[in-house]
Amino acid sequence: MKLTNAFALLRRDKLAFVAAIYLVVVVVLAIIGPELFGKTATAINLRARNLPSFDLNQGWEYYLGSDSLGRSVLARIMVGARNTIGIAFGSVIASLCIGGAIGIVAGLSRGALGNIIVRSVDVIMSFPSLLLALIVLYVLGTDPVNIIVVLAITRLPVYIRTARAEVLEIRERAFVSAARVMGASGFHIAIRHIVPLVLPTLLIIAALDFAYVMLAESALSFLGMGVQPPDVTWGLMVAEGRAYINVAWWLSFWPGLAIMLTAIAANLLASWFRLAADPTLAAGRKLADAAHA
Amino acid sequence: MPPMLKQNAPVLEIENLVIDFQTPTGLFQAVRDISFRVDSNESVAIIGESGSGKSVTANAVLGLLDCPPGRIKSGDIRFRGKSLLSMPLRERRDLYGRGIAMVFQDPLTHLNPVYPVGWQIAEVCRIHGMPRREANEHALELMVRVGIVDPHKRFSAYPHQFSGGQRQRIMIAMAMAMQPDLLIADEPTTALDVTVQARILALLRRLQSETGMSLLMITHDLGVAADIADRVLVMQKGVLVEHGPVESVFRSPQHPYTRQLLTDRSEEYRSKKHEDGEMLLEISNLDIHYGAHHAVKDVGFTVARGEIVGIVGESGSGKSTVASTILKLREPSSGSILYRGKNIQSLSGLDLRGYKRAVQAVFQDPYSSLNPRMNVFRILSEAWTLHPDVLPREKWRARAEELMEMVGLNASDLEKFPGEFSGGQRQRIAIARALTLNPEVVVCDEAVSALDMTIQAQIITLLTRLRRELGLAYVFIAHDLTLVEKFADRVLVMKSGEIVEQGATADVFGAPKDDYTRRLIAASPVADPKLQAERRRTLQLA
Amino acid sequence: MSGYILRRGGQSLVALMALLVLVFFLSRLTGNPTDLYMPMDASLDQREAFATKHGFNDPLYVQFGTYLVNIAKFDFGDSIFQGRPAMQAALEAFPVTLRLALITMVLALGLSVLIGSLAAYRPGGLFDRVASLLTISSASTPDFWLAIVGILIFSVTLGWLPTSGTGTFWHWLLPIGVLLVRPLGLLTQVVRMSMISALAAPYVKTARAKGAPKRRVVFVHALRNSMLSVITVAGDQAAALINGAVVVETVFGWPGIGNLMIAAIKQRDFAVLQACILVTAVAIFLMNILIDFAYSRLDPRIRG
Repeated sequence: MKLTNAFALLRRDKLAFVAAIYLVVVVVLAIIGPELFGKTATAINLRARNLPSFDLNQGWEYYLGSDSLGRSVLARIMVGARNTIGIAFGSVIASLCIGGAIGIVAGLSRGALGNIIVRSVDVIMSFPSLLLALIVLYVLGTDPVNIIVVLAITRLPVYIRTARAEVLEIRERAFVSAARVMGASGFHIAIRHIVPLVLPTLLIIAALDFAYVMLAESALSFLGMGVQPPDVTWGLMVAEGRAYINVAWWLSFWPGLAIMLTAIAANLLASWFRLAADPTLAAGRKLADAAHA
Repeated sequence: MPPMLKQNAPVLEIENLVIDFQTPTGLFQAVRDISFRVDSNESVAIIGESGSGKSVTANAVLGLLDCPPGRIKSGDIRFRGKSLLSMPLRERRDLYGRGIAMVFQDPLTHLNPVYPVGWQIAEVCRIHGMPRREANEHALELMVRVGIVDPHKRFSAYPHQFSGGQRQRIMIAMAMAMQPDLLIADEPTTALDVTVQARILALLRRLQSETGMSLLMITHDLGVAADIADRVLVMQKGVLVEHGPVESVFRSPQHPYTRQLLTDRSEEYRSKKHEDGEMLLEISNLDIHYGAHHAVKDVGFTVARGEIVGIVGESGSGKSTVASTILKLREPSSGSILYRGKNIQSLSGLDLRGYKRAVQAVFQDPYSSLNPRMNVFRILSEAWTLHPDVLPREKWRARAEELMEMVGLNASDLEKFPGEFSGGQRQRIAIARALTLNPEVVVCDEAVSALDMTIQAQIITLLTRLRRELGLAYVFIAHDLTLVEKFADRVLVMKSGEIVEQGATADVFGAPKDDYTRRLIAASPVADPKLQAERRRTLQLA
Repeated sequence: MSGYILRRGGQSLVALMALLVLVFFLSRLTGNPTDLYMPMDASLDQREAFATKHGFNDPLYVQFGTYLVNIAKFDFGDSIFQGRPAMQAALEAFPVTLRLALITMVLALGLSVLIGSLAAYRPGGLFDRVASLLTISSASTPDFWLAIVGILIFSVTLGWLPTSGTGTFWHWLLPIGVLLVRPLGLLTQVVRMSMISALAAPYVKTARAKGAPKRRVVFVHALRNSMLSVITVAGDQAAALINGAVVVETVFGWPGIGNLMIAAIKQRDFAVLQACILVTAVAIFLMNILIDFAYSRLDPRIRG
């Protein structure tokens, strides 16, 4: 799929288009937010304590209100984007690469290795992931790298299973046999034939998983087992605002909404991509089937 | 119970039927103004290739059009004089299963996997008001009637526990449950082996004579039509191009398309064999086990330069296993395959690379044989990246263009992706790919089985021409006996992993020595109603 | 059939064992486990006495043996803060969580089958599109946030529902409502997808050709088949429900196992945390077996 084609396709689906724009804004904030608004977010302003939302008198940064120290909620959300998005992105990339590679190896191996991988995946799958994360972080400490690793491990099974299932199907296709007849090595087949066909599916899973991991990270932050203050994530902001729910609802509401909208956007984009990738993959087959029916 | 019908009263009448399909690329007319009738106790066959609209017509009668999105635009369908299209839904539904019943092509997917077969047969009766106990008893009787062995025990078995032929018997029992006036059978034997097909066709014929029902058979197989039909309709691209009594249509077809279909079937493809006869492959005492299953037993044959060796057999005969062993996709348990006198198991280095160049393959499914993410040029040039010594990089494009023209495609198609080609074109690309390394032997594993008759004929013509021009040898594996008879120099008949007979094609088909070969030939229907009737009699005697 | 159940049961048992080993080695990874088990302000003497009593000065394999023996005796040591066996605390809290999870699961399954089937009946129709957007949103909602917003709206602003605690029927509404949202969204999506593919399956065509009325086609032929994938996902969701329970119980102050666990983390009461994790793991182990049994009852193909 060419890039311009993809853009034109995206324009046609309004919901997905809006979701994409929102995600771009969030990602840009994650990249440059702390540099631009870092000072604003940490500035304690005692004259602007507990300002409610939608009040422009104290300047734009207080539009979403402020906390008991007079820090701007909006600025804190923009700065918190980096940790929230960064941790989710890091663990998705890690589980995508490692899980995808393990899954492809499991699919291609005809011996005991494949079986061992499948069994271990089942083992990981039958733990409740949040509990696993809680106990590991309890013992090892809530370093961001630890959080990324723990979240990545709990998501590995999804990629391994999907990649393996796809490979098992693809490797039985005749073009793989044809390549083997010509003397292609296992490595050549994996790189030329398997990876390009498995990748789109894995990317869709990754987009869905991004939402999932972000929610998990936020839950960890909320429970106090995620990123620790003075660092800030959206989940942590919700947790901190909880004590003030009677007097300052905006402290919890806005960061939570940011989490939800980002998760929705990732989900919408993933389901759009699934539809968009499908016809280019199998247009010929679908048409032929329709004609045959 | 159906009322007694007058002789020759029409059971089904189709009048000026037009059916539209909504596709992503726009409106597509699948059926274009066709009219025909089916009389009582009559067998009518609709013959056509994929996309001819024959299945769509059958589905329209049973109101099954809404998936995929199809719509009856105009025309009428009448059952015993009453219009199905203007009838209230409730009344129509009451006719389905009771007055009109249908048998589908693939019984495994058309039976519900999670219910016992007895329950599924009895369900028809229960839907139409029979009490449960009575329905179960009736279902059991039906299972006996269609020839299910040990019906009491099999009553509560599930579809996946039956063989293909048995499943189709269950489908037929289900369709016969309410003694319908009209049975529509949509390619009921297409997925089955020829000997099983012969038995299913015999069952349908027996049930028809017992009940006096009418039969509307949808088929692409002229032999099946010749076997069962009183009258045939020929459809092409949604249009009814020819119809008439089976003898007259097969003896003197009027429409060029019908004539084409019949000549494709009887065409002689055999060309002169190369005479130098240098021995390429010598296979001896080949044994292959899958776990406890003995898939191939003591198989031996030879392939000489420019020779076409046909391997025929039913599913599970081990013919494809032999092919994949020759292609080194599988190791034999014992026995040897010699290539120019050297055992291919012990080849290494240059010799192994030489073998990988000399032997190529064309597989059955045109949709899975090309990587959908590679364009045609990359598909063809992949072989040269694996064997860089065959062709210098700067000559790749010229050679690829040459190959495309050789298989009857345009050089400008090189940049296209497989999704943009039809099944027949894809199979041509697969053949071009097999030729990239200038092979000596091409193993064709059911290479034309998935294609329509006319496309099949074109591909076989192409293969014949390539053998003449390039001196290729083929190992041609097929379940279609007629095709092998017309194409191969020598033929091997396999059954349960063993070669039961081999020899020159004319000898094996003309005077088969083995009993199984005789049965196989007798079961394979020929596109000639008179001849087929005779064969049927001999088959019944045997 | 028993072969399948046995194999799956064995798998879950291995998972359980792996969890035990993981907990053991994690607790030893940080150096001296005394630090994990004892509160921050314990004196050196207390620590030393604790370490000797629990054999933390023994070689690792002896410790592992003792650990396994103790687990077999359901002995996880004492809770430092509650002054009673950790297991007792965990087992007391568990039924509360179980009741919450069961009610939620039953509601989620029932509602998702209803909404998913209706949406699948006319894919792309108005109901389907609205339902799809709602299910995507509900699957994307952070449950802890929803809990807070729920309290804000229904307790603080409207004053209809209590903010926390248990007791009356009204106390159940918010926790169950919050806990329901994500499994409901995910399950509805699964029901919809599998219903769409089941309704397009050839056997549905056969059923229609038999003259079966629409209700029968949908609920007898399609639903039973689509339940196969729904049950698999419901199994994963049931495990995830424990995750959600942790969050919901802390927000609403429910005396369930999630609340206990978080309290244990905050008080650094490792014995209780360990007991809680094992109790939930055993519960999930039993539930997986139940799910596998249901699956094999529904699908004759894996029985054969």
